[in-house]
Amino acid sequence: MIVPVVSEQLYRLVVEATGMGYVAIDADGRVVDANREYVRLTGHRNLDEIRGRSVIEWIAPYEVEKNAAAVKKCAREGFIRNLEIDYIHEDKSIVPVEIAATVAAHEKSVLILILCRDISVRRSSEQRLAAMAEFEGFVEQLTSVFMALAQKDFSVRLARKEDRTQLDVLIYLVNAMIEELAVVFDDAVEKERYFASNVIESLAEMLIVLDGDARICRVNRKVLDILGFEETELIGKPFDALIGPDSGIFNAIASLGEKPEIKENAAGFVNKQGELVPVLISGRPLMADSGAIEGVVLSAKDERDSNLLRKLQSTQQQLVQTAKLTALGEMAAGIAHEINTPLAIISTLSGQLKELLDEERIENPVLKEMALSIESTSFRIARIITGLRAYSRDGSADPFSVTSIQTVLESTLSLCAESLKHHGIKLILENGSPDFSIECRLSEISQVLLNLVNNARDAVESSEERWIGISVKDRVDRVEISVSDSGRGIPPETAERLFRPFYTTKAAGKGTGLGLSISRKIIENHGGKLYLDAGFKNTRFVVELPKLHEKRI
Amino acid sequence: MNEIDTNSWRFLGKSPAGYEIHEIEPDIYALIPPENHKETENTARLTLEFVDEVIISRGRSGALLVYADRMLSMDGGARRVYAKARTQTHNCVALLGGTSLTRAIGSFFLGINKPSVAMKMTASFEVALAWCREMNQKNGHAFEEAKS
Repeated sequence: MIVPVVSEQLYRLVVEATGMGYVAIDADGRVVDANREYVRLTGHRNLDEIRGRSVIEWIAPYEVEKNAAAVKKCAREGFIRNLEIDYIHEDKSIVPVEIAATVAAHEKSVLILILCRDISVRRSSEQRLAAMAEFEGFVEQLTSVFMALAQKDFSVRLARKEDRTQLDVLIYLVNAMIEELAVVFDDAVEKERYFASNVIESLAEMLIVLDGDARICRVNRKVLDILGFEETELIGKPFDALIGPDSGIFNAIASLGEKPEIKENAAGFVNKQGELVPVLISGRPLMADSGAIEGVVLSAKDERDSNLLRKLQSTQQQLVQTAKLTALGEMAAGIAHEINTPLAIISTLSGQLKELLDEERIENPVLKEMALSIESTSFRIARIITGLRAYSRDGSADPFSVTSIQTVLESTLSLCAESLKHHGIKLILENGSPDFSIECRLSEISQVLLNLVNNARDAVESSEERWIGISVKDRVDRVEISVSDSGRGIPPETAERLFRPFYTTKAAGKGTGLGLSISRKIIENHGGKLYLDAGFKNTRFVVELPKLHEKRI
Repeated sequence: MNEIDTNSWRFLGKSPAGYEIHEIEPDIYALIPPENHKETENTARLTLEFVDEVIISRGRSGALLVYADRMLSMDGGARRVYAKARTQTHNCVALLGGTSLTRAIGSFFLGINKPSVAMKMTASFEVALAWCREMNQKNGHAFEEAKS
């Protein structure tokens, strides 16, 4: 405790010269004395306005508790230092002050001597620094938010203090704008997606998109309508499931790395019924953002009503004839053998007859027998030639006519029986001589059966066990003709593809691979079915034909 | 926040979201949110339903005067509820508030999320009241079904 003894004049000089506010208060907190600076700090005009009043009157209401605690501490310890308190100026402004106080004794009473420094400037600087730091933090956050928005991440938000300051309001606005942007972006994306989908589905041409592995990843409605598939039957499947084994289009697709596009490449799609649909295919590569090719976009024009179709059909017809003639060529040696044998018989018999006539040793029974032999052998040659004529002509325009099943079999077997014998292949006719008729185009059915027999011959000619069986069964309104052989059977993976155009298991140069697909087409045109009997131990193909053509039914 | 003097008004109820509705004068209603209210899609729907019920029970459409300064935030869901509302019960909505935050919240209704009902933002109670009276005169109508 300080007990000062000074003169009034010196005291006054010191208190006015401190440069800080000075107030002496009693134990009740009332002003005993103060300097001009303190009077100014509190917003009063002179000492008389504040003498005897409690300093609590100009301490900010929210600082009263803090002040009370400081007073207690001062009373306990004798002093207090660096206490920051807000004063309320007479003009209602806030004046922050820093206080140092000391307890002193004076004439048997206790005084608290207080020095106050106005820290408005310092406080303002501190607040400005804090605001700057807060703003820098905001700018950093905002930068992160903008980067996220650039990645189309609209879930980002700035953190709000919710203190309603200007910065807080700005943060609210930014967050609200991000919310609205997200809605607008989603709407725009959805509109774009809908528009693109609408355009694709409205195209007059077929649209097929392939991925980098040449698998179908998108088709439009036109594809499904024309080819008869469901979307799920195509998506994810390799493109060659849709297209015939036409290397042209695959080469064109492969060249898209060097060439910018495919232009009107003639090809055929295989529809769900297995029929060929002629198309003109154009295409361009599908480019990723990186510039790499990530797929192919193909558009295909249905050419069924165009000249292309007629050309294709004409080509197909030529191929059928070619296949026939090729088969005939393969059979040539066999057919020559078929004819030579009876010719040799005729030649021998007619030679013998001439000798007998020359020697006048001929008797009627012998003459008759020889003549009959010559006649039957000639008929045999005639049957072969009939069979050849029937086979080699283009019978696709012939009317359906009722033909005995025997005629059908003879017309076929006349061209191949001898050849089979020559190759050591046993021909087994399982049902003897069936006696009923069917309505058909003889040349076409003959072609189908001969094709099946030739395939069977090729399958067994190098086997140890060599036989071909032909059976004919009467099924009331239809007939079932099966051609079986002693071969090992056909593996399931091959069986699926057997009836596809151009598919063959034969060596290169042997056969054209057209046989089974055309054979099936012929039988289907007759209202029948041609199929592989998968349950048979060896190999068996079955032809089912209605006895009457459907127009007559 | 300044206390609102509701002594001369008629208290009509409190919504599940905490909004109070008072009748300032016939067909003009004060809608007072809770202090520091954060409006969401759910609270917006509850408020609209509540306001509709109260006004329908009065038999005539009216004007709403919303004390927006008491709001701390409004999310996108709430904005869309108000923007898409097709209510027949109120003729106009005056947003009363003078703070920057209120202006920020209200700005969306004057631009991106414009509601079908007429809206005005003002810091003056007198201006808001005068405008509500004008809009009531223009658009006010009775609810025939409620009356019958």
